Amino acid sequence: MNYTKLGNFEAICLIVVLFINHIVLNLPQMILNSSGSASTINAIYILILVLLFTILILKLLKNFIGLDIIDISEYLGGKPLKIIIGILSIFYLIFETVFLLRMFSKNLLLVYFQNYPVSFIMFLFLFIGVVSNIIGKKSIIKSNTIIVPIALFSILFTFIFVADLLKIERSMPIFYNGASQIFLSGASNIFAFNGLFFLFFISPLLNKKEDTSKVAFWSVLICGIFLILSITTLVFAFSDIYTVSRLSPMYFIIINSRLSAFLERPEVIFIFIWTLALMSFINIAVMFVLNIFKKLTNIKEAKHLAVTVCTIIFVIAMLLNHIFAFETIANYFYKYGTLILVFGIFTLLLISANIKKKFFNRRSP
Amino acid sequence: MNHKVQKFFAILILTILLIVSSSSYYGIKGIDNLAYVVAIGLDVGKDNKLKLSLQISVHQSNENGSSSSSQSSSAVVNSIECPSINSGISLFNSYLGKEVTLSHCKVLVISEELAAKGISEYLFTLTNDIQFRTDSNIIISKCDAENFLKYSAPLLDKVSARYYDIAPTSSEYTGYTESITCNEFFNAINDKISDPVAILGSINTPDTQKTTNENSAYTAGQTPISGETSVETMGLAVFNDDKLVGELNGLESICHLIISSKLENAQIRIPSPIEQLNYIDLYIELDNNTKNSLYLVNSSPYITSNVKLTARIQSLNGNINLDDEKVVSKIENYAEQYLKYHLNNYLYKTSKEFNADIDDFGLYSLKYFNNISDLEEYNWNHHYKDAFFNVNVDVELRSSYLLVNTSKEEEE
Repeated sequence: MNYTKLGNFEAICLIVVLFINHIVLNLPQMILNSSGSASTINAIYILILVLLFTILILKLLKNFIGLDIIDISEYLGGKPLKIIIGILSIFYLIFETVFLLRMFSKNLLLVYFQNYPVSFIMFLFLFIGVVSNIIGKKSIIKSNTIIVPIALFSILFTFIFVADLLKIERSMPIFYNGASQIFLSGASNIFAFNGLFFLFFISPLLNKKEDTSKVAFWSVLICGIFLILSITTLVFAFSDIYTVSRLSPMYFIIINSRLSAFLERPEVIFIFIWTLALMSFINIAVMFVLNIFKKLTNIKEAKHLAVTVCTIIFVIAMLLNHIFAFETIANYFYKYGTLILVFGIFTLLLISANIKKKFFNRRSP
Repeated sequence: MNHKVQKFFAILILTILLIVSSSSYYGIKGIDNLAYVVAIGLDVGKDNKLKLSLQISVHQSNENGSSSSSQSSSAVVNSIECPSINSGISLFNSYLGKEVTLSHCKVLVISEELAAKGISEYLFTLTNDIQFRTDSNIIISKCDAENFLKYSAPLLDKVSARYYDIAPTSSEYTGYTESITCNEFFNAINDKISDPVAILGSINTPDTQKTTNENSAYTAGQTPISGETSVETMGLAVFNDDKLVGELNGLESICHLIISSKLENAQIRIPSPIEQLNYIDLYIELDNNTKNSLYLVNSSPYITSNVKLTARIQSLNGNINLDDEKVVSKIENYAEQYLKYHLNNYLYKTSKEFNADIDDFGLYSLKYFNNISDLEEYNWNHHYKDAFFNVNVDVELRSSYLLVNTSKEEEE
């Protein structure tokens, strides 16, 4: 793949940016709705599960160093499988972008731009997606490396300012809806780590390909720590957080934090940072879509197709006007799309490719 | 990408940004198009369900054409009968010819009469409003909310908005009330194991005033102060779920702050154990957070509160030696007994009379339940009235202020 090569930190930021966008929107609320006061236990449990999953994936990827999931699918099932996996990946990225873009734009519209059409806000995001992809991958990756630490710091900052509201007693009842809800059905909350999608594509991009495991572990750990922190803060600080669903729990934390004692509208700073994080994710998603497409079609240069990809995203995002239905579909896609594609199909594909390599074809791909 | 195209794009973007930033959007709303609300009042309406009062800031630019800010403005109060808050605001928009904005609202005042009927509907509506700041204070007015707003012209501040900012902070050094925000109130309404409180306010007139021996046993409007008629916040309004069930006076508010570990400083007056004084004024503060624990005894909550306070003696007379350990210990014991008596009274009042857990004791009961269905089955709110309390108070008299020993005999 003709990508700009990534350092370890850049690669970690690339995986984490998708997680940041979800945590800013409604990821904590989704977990809180299912696990209530036991959400912290559930978050720790899914972090352990995802770490185990990452070990498995890294072990499976060991035989395919320097290859991404598209190459591996070609090795396993030839061109047909490569095209199927490629199309599925493109679909996943496009819909992930559509849902994040529409939800964030809707929130932005509600909070600040009530008299503007949502299409105008979405257009601005996608315009930047087009321009940055035409300018080049290096700028996308570098800007993401700046934005992600700032966004993470902003999230951490919000937790500090509600520290005085935390009460450990709110973690009870310890099993909320029962132990099975946390450890059996709650295991499906691993969808929160959907940034792992990029792990299947990142190996050929790395400067040091043997560092894939470091990148994977650090990414999972950062996401896990922030997930646990956000959920713990919400559960321990706000008694009604799982009885009343909010627009965005992170926004809710900020407007209720002690920050408002110093600043008149502290949320403005955070919304600005999160807007940059979404822009960065859109740039990356479009970049990956173009590169997968390029790989599937063998065209020489795909960057000008950024306009087409962004137009498709824009049109799909505008298709559904009923925002409650949109949110429901987005949450289903986020959960089940991730579980089926990232934790299901990609993993099965890797296992099958390893079996093929071990028993049927000892030649390197 | 070739450099010429990059340059073209860069210049194009910069040009667009310059044009956009230097021109005004036709739909932009400035200070002239908006009516800034500094306080909202809610009363029971005569014909309709609700009487909505808005205290709106009048900017000086509207009066004499000079530039203005919210710091240099007076305010008007208007009321309207309406079926809901939003329909009332729409009617105000039409009446004023400006768009009412709640983004600068500092306080929500609700009359006692309306509060007794339940106010969750209004709280949910306002919390759902993107303009309304949930860090606004909530006051339950013993008089009409409309009158409360009309008389809210503060004595020492020219600007109502600033008064609303500063007034609730008096609780930090008096303890006679608590600065409760709409958000805290909203959270407590939705919480299954605690009940909300709000600031108690009223207009102080000679008719409402009363006198007692107990320094702080007044509620809002009762303080015997001579002077201009003005609003006063003192005490707390106690709710069971979203309905007003009672009120706490200044001293009981101090007790509430002690139990919930929110007390910053307060002044109390205890009967004196030494003969040179009838009463002793003590300035108290929490030494440690109050340690509350709860046991379920035959399903009834048995609650223990361990209170640790430090005190400084304020009132002095001749012939008092605070270096004498016996005197100090006597004062400490009296203070402990006095506070224990009032804390017990306060706790049993919230439990037996109000059945409202405003001190979050329910939190300590959660450990007895493994899952939410067990908790719901137990129904904390139903059992709180069966609670019995054990209060332990430890007062440490640190010092007085500038005078330590006024005992002339010892000096001689």
